[in-house]
Amino acid sequence: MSTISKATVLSIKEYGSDIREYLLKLDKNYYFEAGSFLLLTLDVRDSYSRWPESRNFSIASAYNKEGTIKLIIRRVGEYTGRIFNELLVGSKCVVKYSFGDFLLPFIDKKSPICCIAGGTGIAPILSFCEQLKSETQSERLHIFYSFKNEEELLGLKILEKTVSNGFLHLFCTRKSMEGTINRRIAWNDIQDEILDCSSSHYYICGGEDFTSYFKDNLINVGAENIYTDEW
Amino acid sequence: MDRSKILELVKLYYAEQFAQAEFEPGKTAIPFAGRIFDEEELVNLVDASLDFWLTTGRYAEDFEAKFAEEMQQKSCMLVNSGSSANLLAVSALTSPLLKGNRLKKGDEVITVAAGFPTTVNPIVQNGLIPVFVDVELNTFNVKVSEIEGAISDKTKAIVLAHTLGNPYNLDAVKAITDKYGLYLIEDCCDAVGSTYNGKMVGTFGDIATTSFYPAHHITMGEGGSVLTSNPLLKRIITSLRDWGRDCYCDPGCDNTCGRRFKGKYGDLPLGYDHKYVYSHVGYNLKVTDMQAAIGLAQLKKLPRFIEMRKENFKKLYTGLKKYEEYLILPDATPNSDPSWFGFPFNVRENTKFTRKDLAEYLEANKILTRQLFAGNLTKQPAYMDKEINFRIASSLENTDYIMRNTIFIGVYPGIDDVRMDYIISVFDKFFNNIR
Repeated sequence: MSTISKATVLSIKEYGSDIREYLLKLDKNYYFEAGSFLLLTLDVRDSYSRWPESRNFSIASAYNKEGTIKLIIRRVGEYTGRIFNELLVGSKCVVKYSFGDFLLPFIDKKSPICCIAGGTGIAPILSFCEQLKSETQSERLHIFYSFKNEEELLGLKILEKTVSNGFLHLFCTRKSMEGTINRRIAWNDIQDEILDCSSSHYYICGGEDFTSYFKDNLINVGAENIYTDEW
Repeated sequence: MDRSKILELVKLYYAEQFAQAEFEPGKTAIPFAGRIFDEEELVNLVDASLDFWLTTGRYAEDFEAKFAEEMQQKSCMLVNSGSSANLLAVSALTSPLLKGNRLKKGDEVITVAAGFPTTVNPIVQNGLIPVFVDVELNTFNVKVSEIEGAISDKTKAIVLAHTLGNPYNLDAVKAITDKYGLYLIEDCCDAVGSTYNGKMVGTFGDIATTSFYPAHHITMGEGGSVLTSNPLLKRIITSLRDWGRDCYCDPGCDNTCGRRFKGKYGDLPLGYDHKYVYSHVGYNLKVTDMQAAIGLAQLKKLPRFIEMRKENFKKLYTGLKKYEEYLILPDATPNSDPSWFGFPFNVRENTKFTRKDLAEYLEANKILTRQLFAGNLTKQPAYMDKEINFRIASSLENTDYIMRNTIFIGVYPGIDDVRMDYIISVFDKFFNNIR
């Protein structure tokens, strides 16, 4: 069963006007798998009743004993607008965690892990980075990450610290930017990485069209371990 | 009305209703097990009932998280009994989500016949074949030297209970499961708190199970749990427990994934409600929050309960050591620290008395006894049925010896020093009479 916990906002980092990285401290801190997601509600309640209106977000950090978690939230509608207005440093919300199947392989500790992320879809991949780094397995990681512009480039420090040279591929779609490719990720980019698709694990996180494009191509070449997280 | 007032009254009720009766030697029964509780269990029970949430709720949420930590596992799924826990553990290994590693009908699972039936029954219930190997007389656990000889090309798993709290040789068993790529299920129903090489039992295998029936280390009336650190097995077990559904919404929640009407599953139409998509042929084996509420109060007492069981075991062992001429006393498996469920021993086959004589004497003196559950399961009526397929890999000589000669008595925390002294004095009288 999931855990319901109050959470306090420790810090907020702005990435342009519509994306924020929240650092929260959980009142109840229990283990969760990297890649999990949670539900966040602004309705702070004490009684156990039907779960109120909430939104789900991938956890952008791995479990730690300090009980802190990172969330990357894009303002896209009324509720996320409320989050931006009401969830300030020091304020509280309630989260329910953890859920999802977008998780690292449990048994296979050797095969490559190839992550393909678009925009805020990098969030669960950042938790993979932390987890694999703590398990000294980050050399397995290959990351393809596309974002609109420099302002919306999330988690660059973690990515650069974690991913081996030549395995981090950054795509800036709306601007020309040093160290990045100025276009969307294409299927050829994944093929050029020359991974054994029958043993590698592919994680795709982004919008529906984005995930289905890569998923379909991977299926066509016989990839067996495909995990998707789409919105 | 203020709920706290009701709960204060519950405390008063506990004090009045459950005051401990004075022990009268020879008149007051000393059971082999029993529930030990105080006002906190009653308060939690009433508190949960006043929530009227009824199904799995806030107490279950707390219990699962805390018990998983206690058992050094990443996840715990509460179920309505230890037997259900075993059913889910074995059924999980047949899940299609395990792809080529799933167990299929006719696959073999190595186990023992000396134990509780519902360790083995789920193997049969899933169309798998139990393969029985013999046990040791002093630990009551599997003879590890016989396991490899029982392995065939159909062997896919080992399912074993830590008998009466005594861990089996996990170094040896784990070496075999690793060598042959077998799953390991640890039935810890009688072994909550037992450790091996300093680690909790249940953490060595793929899945562990526990029971919270009143006779066990902690209780919630009816109850049990399945524990695993493997997230895929957790997903499968939860699905099987909750009707087989694919969705992972908690009770009372909808659309946790945010894609409730967006998916395509099986041959169902696109957008079919994910809440009613079933990826397993499942059960409903959940607990109510009232049960979990009792369990949460019990969990706080668990460390003390474990210590008391260990202390009582030592006292009995010391008190009965002088009768080793007649009794085979239990030995803890090397490298283990058992949280004993009971104190088992074998009556050596002799000309002066039988197990029946001793058991009847103890029972007449109000010391309640039990045999090692099914004895030799293959000789039970249920397993005489020709429709039940199993294989006996080697002689079950010791299993038969246990069937004929084992008794166990209690070490549970309700046995205080006065009761313990009385138990030993009854043994003394018995052996004085036969000499």
